[in-house]
Parts: sequence; structure tokens; C-alpha cells
Amino acid sequence: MFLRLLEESFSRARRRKMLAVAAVALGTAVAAAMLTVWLDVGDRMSRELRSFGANIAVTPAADSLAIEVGGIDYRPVSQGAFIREADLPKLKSIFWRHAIVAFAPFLYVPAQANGRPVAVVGTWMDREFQVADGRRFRTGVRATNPTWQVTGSWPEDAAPNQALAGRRLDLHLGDLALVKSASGEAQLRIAGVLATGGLEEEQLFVPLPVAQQLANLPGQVRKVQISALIKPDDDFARRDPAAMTREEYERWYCTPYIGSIARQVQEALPGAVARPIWQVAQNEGEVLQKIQWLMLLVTAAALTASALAVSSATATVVIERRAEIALMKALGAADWLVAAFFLAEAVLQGLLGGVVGFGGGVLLAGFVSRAVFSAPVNIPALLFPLTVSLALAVSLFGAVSQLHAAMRLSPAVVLKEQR
Amino acid sequence: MKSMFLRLVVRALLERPRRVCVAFLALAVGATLASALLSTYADLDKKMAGELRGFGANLLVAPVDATSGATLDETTVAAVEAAGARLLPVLYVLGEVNGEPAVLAGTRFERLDAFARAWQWRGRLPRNGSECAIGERLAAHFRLAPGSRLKATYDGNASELQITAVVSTGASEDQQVLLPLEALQALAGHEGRISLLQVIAPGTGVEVETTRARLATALAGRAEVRVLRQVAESSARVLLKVKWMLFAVAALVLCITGLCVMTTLAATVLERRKDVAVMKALGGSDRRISSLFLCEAGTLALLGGTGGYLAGALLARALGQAVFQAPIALRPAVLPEVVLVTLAIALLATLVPLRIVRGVEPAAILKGE
Repeated sequence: MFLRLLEESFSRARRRKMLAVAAVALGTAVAAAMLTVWLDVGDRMSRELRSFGANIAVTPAADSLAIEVGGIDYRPVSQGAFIREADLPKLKSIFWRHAIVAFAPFLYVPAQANGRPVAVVGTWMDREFQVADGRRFRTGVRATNPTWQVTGSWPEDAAPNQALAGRRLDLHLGDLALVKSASGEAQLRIAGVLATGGLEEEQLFVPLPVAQQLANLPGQVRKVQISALIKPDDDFARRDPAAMTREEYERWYCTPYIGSIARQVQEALPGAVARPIWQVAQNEGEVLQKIQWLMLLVTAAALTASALAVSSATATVVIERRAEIALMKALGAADWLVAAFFLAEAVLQGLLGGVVGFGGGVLLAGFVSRAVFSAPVNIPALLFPLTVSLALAVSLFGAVSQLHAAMRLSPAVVLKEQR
Repeated sequence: MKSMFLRLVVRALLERPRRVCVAFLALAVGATLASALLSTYADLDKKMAGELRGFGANLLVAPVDATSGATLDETTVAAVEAAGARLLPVLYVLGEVNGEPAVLAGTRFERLDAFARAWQWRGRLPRNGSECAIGERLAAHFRLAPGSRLKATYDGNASELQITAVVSTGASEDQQVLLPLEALQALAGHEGRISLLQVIAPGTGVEVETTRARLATALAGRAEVRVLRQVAESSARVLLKVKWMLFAVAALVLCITGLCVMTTLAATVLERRKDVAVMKALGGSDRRISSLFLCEAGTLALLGGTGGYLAGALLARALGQAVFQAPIALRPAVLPEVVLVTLAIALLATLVPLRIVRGVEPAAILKGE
């Protein structure tokens, strides 16, 4: 009898039922889409923020004092210590290897190009190498500095005679440059001209082997810059790792804070010191936190609004059927039975709306993610049960809130009102 | 007749408080969300640009002559009027510290904070020409700490400096001695000269370009003004992404909330088909019945829209305070937008079901139940 009532109720007044289900589905879709976007936004935005440049600098530990301005080392190559280029692939085997999105080594060689003094910078432009787990990884300055603008083309990493000239140098596209250093010389063709706005515009960039040959330092680099995805520092991250208990240290080590990634880099590269570039690292963390906060609050507001909308939709269903409730009661149905009937209806509405809404929400979130970040969205496995149970809870809440009032009314009064 | 119409509208609203409440709530909630999102969106540029300023200078004023060691005249450059822009002059010279070559950087410490918020200081900023700050690695190299002294030399001129702070930046400054600009200019015999001028132009993207163009015109021939692409372009890009995201999210939430409100309102109209039938049976014209319902919905929408605007403005204020530590300004321009949208949704949500109900014969409805 109970089931038949339920079945009848859904197959009769179908349009009204569909309206309620649609409202639940729409509300759930907003909730599901917002939750998905919110869960994804930290990852996506921290990738965007990587265009501000490297956030970790690695230098040799036992180094002499560098003569450095704007990141360029003007020491003669005969001074100071170096890092072995062959160690660099180890950076992709640390615990947080997936957080390292790019890195580039640098070797600075004071030299003369066509008779004028110039700082020659050897680096990886866009090098591919094999990582310990067998996968391939491409990295270099193109990846660490995506805002650099090159007219012409980037030099090939394997080419022995190509160079990238800073815009302010007196070297133009296609020019030949005779570069002489204290320990070598090379004939280079300008493959591209670099515009950055910064001091890089006064330097000559060459593939690393060329600079190593000019400096007579095969396999050595002076500095490595790393671009890593980080978690904004919180109070825990700011504590001194040396003073932590074992468990705390493990938690710190296994969280992608800038400090713990720098620590792991240092462990991977013997004889090197890895230090956060604070201007980038800290501001990146702060901006990321603001964006996440903003999205969290917007998500919370949208969730509240959709909850209100859904519960008001189910509430309407009960309100408009007060006469039915009265009739059931007049025919001798117990309160709990009437309540059970309407709650069962609300459950069905919630489930149906929840499932449809989840599907819609996932589509919408994918749409937002593609429009904003040109990348598909990650759907966490827990999202489905979470949104459906939310939809269920909210639509039950809407029904209960009105049912309580509807039950208290005397059947006689309600039924008379209807005539 | 007029008063009868009014009475019908008023009583329809007052007699069924529960149902009216549900409809009003649905409209007000939608309007609140619309108002909060629109206000936040409108203010986002300013707020995010403020946050992104922490990444440092977005413009650089450098000597036209690209050879190393070229300098600018500080008075002509720094006097340039740049509305809202912050300027930081820097002079670099290669000198000696305790007998070893090292880079000495002169700057104005009182302006430094805006350019290097993230630098980690140990000690206090230098206050006069006999004090200096040193980079972390330089400190480690010479085993110096705040309180000790060092000897800075340039071309035979020597100066004894008191160290007041050690700074950790992760960049070149870690290996430099930072001292007040005038002190370095005097030491190096470069009175009134600077190596470059860092500039934080307000805003992002086009605004930065406008400031660059203005500075470039003012300094034509004397200095080159360049956009620091890493900061300027990344800021513009991040801001664009955040704006886009909030826009997409706002559009999505508003569309769906609008639909949701519509379904709720439509249900309340559908449920009153008996009323419609009675009115029709009593000879009410379709137009008159429609205007009655529309008036009801319109009143609700005006109230809900206005209430929602206020609630949304408060919400945006709280949101701005929580995220940016500054309230998001109340925007009167948002009010008509919110009220109009709410009104449109309410009227549409009333008209469509009404059309369905009106199509049915009164007798069928009245007998049917």
C-alpha cells in the first residue's frame, strides 16, 4: 500500500514532481561544480604562479664570496666552487619530485664578444633527460622563465655554435660573434634575441657545453634555479625543523613547504646549498592563500544558497499538499506513517536530483576549468557520495521543516479551507 | 475596481505567509549571491593588484648606455612625477669588504619595504651613513653578525661601517653589503648617481604600460624605461585567471540559482491553479489574472532584490575583510542590476506556469481535485 501510494504520487502530478527534482538537481550541480573547482584551484593557480620564476636557488656549499648583481655572477671562472652537472637528474628523484616543475643550471663566464666585455651565461634551454623511474623530463630556462620573449629562435642545446643575445647587446639576429674568454674562444651565431626587461638583456646566453668549453670546466655549473610547486607556509612551516620531534619532522618533510623541498634538494645534491628565493616563494604563498580563501568563501556562499534553494523547493512540495496530509490523517493514518510517506518522497527526490545534479556539476566544472586554465578538471572519488548525500540531507531538511507544521494543523480546518 | 485589484494583491501576499516566505526567501537568497559576487568581482582588480605588488618592481629605469658601470643622474630620474608609482633608486659598485672584492649596493631603506616585503631581516634597518646591512652569505663568509663592524673600500677610499642587520633573500643581495644611498655615493665618489631605478607602477597590464610610456617620454634620451616582463606579465596573467575564474563561477552560480529560484516560484504558481480557475469562472480576463499574479511576483522580487542587495553587500564586505583584510566597497551601481535581474526571474517564473494553467478549462481544474 505504502509503495503503491509512493508510485502513484510520482506517476500522477509528474510535472510538479519534476520541478522539485529539477530544483534539487540544479542546486546540487552548483554545489558539485563549486566543490570541484575549489579543490582544483590551488593546484592550478600554483602552476600559474610559477611564471614569476624560480623559487629555489642552489649554490655550492664551500663557495667563495660571489660578485653578484641581478643574479649574474661576475667572478672569474678560476674562483669558487661548482656543482656537478651529472648530479642534476637526481632532482627528479627526491620525495617531492612531482613538485619540481622545472629547473635550469647556470655557468657564468666573463668574456669578450667581438672585442666588447660581456657576461656569457651557459644554461639548458630546453633539455630532455631520463629520470630514474625511466620517464623523460624536459626542462631548462624556457620552462623556468616562461615570460622571456625571444625574437628568432632559441638555440639548440646540442648546437656548438648558437647563442641567444640580450636585446641591449650590440648583437643582432644572424650576426656572428667571436667570443673570447680567459681560457677559450668560440665562434657563435646569434639564433635569437632575448627581451626580459631585466638585466638578462645585457647578457649572452649559450648552451651549457659551450660555456663549459669557454671556461674549461667540463661538467660543472655555478648555480641551479628550481621552480617548485609549494604549499603556502603556515605556522608549522615556520618552526625550526631542528627543534621538531620525530613525528613533526616527518610531517614537515612530507609536506611540500618551500623549506622541506629545499632540504630534500640539498640532500640530493652533495656539496650544495639550496635556499628559497624569498621574494618569489613567500609572495607566491601569500597570493595563493588569498585566492584559495576567496574561492573557499565563494564556494561556501554558493553551497549555502543552493542548500536554501533546494530545501525551499522540497518545502513547497509539502506545503502545496497539506490537503493530502489532512485527508490521510482524517482516514486514520498514523502521524509517523504520513511522515514516512512524505520523507520517502523527499528521499527519492533528493537521490534523483543529487545524481543528475552531480553529473551536471561535473560537466560545468570541466567547462569552467577548460575556459580558465585550458585543462581538464580532476574529479575526486569522494565527490559523488558527498554531493549525493548533501542533496539528500538538504531535501530531507526542507521536507521535515514544513512537515512538522503541516502535521499540527487540524485536518478539518485544512480540508474546509480547500473547498 | 482599482482598489479591488490592490486588495487582491495585498491579501494574496499576507494571507499565506508560509508560501510567500518560501518564494521571498528563494528570491532574496539569489539576489544576495548575485550582489555579493558582482561587488567582489568589481573590486577584485584593485585587491589582487595590491597582493601581486609583493613580487616587487614591474618597471626598470636603466641608463641608455648598456656598458657596465654606466649610471644615471638621480635628481633628473627620481624627480619624475609618476602618479601612484613607487620608486627605489639603487647604486651598485664593485668595492672591497675587509680586503676582498664584494658588491656594495646603496639604496633608500625607508622605501625598501614596498619592494622587498619578503626579505627576512635579522636586526634593524641602517639609519645613517655609518651603518649598513649585509647579506646572509656575506655574513657567513666574513663571520659577521649584527653589531660587528666591517671596512668597505672603493678606489682607495675606506669607510668603517656598523652592521645593524643581516638579510636573507635567496637572491644576489645575499652576497652584498647594503648601505644608505648617500653613504655609498660619497664613498665611491659618485655623488648624485644611481645604477638603476626600480619602479612599482600601480595596477597591472595596460596601466603598467601607460606608466612606462609616461616615464619614457619624460626621460627620453636620458634613460631607458623597461617593463620587467617576469613580474608585469605574470601579474597580469594571474590576475586575468583569477578574474576569469570568479567570472565563470559567478556566471554559473547565478544562472543555476536563477533557474532554481524559477522552479520554486513556478511551483507556487502551479499550486494555485484553483485560484486561477475560480477567477476565470467568475469572469476574470486572462490579462487581468496575469497582471494580478505578476504584480504579486513583482512586489516580492522588488523586496527580495533590495534585501538581497543589502545582504550581499554585507557578505562581500565580510568576504573582503576575511580575504584581503580590507572591506569590499559598497557599490550602488550593483543595486539596479540585482533588482532588475531578480525582477526578470520572478516575472518569467510566474508567466510560464501561468500560461499553462490558463490554458486549462476552469471546470476541469475545479472538478479535478
